[in-house]
Amino acid sequence: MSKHILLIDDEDDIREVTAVSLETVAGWRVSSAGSGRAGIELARTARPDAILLDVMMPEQDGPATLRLLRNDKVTAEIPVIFLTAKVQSIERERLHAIGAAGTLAKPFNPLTLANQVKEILGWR
Amino acid sequence: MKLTVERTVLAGFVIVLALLGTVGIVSQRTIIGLIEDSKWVTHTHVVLEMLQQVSFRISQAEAAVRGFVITGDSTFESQYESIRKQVPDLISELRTKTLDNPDEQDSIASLQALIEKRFATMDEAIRVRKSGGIQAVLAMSNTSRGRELSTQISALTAQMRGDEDRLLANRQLRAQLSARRAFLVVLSALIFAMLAVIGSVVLVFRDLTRRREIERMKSEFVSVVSHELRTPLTSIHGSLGLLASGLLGKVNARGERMLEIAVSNTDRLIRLLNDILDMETLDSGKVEMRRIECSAGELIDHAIELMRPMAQNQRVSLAATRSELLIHADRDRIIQCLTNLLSNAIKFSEPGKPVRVTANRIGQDARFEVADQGKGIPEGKRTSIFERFQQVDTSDSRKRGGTGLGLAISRNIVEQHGGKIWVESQVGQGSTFFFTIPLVDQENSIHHAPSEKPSEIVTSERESNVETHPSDRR
Repeated sequence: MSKHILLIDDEDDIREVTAVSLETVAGWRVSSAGSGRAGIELARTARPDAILLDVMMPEQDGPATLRLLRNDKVTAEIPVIFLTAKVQSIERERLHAIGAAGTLAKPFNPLTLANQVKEILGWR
Repeated sequence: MKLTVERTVLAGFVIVLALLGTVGIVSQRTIIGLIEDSKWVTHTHVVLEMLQQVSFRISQAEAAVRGFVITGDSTFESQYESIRKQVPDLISELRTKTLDNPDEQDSIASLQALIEKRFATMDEAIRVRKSGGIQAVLAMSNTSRGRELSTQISALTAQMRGDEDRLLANRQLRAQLSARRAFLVVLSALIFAMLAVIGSVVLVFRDLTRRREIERMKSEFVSVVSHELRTPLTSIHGSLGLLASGLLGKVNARGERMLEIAVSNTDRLIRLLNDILDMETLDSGKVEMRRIECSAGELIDHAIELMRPMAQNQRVSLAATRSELLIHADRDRIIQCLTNLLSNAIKFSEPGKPVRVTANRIGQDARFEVADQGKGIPEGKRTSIFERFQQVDTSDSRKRGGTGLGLAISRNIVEQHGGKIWVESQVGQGSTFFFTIPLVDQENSIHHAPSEKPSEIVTSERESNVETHPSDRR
């Protein structure tokens, strides 16, 4: 069954490339939002199978967005994977501690991204 | 000449040392002066005492002569004789005590002359008393002469005592002045030395603070730049990867080649960025090595799995010798170190050649070895390759896609574990990189590493030839 992924990232180009990668490589359906606020709205209505969330965003950053998603009954169960440009393991652990299912480093490999997501979420 | 902090501090310490040296010399001189001075005080008192003795003896002699003249009793005479014998001794002792003072010597000579004359008059009186009785003595013309000599002798001794007193006062004054001067010199030298020390300390602290600030800014800059570069690189890398994969449609052969170049170079840029950030984090000491007990063999296996795709591309075979040594190390960092060395070994191996990884016990350490049969490293480069951006051949980074930081990072990791890293190589025959990592402390460990067995526990040489055993574990 085809999965539905929600991308939340303030960089238009990264959203587009990520969407193309997941659509063409894995055949998933991808929705995207350019801010944490818009992402939460979309998550509530579209109920994606997973959310790929950028860490550094203006106004409402990734961790803040995750907290709001977790506090909402509708979105609380949706797994969230962080996409982060900070690659140090301390950072990865911090994100894991606040409830991320996993972290993926930017830049990612567009051909293996979908597989990495599957691996993290146990989808295979 | 540039006035660096180091130089200023060094100058400060030289000044302090010079000042303390001065304090030492001045103190020593002052103490010697004070000792000398106290000797002089004693000396003066001795001289004064002796002068008094001389006066006293003369009076005693005069009294004895008077007694003899009046009574004719020979006891007085013998009393006089004994005193008369003592006085020259006193004089000669006085003379030796004042050898250093010519004025006093002169006075003593005059005193001696006067005393001799006085004794002569007294001798005369005794002689006249014996021959002519008391009347003859009274009739003597020179009785007033004797009194006169007595007065002169007392005057002279009084004068000499006065001189001696003045001399002592002068000496004490001089000693006091020199002590006061010494005190001032010592005090000001100590104040200057303290100021120099305080100045140096302030300077060093200011410099340290500044350096720390620069270090902090540098590390912040590196992490910001790394993040800012990563964002556009994510888009470039992603879109190029998709284009090159052909999933979005075919391009012609030349286009494909161009995409390949673009992809491999963005890959390299990303590696460089990661390594720079890694180097910076390791250098800043912000990351602690999270050391746990882990199996050397397992780390080697893991590293080999990670490098298998690269080995496959280069058609290089990877072999590991099983090791059951337990080391106390940061797992991820040792794997990083091993993959760095493996990546180098694969890069510099011809297709078909093997790269071998082992770990042996050497004393309290596990010694890892990554051996290749590549072109080797010339002797002059065997140390410098562990420095940043120092490669055997500067074109290597372009041709082989390395960042020039791998070995520097590995060295940093190994050294943070308290180990050493080095290379042995024969040009044309290959290189072997070694690094040591402390073993788990046997006594404090629950698990026991097979310490009795020699390290070369080549129980089975697991040849993981890439052609025959493609990776299926990742």
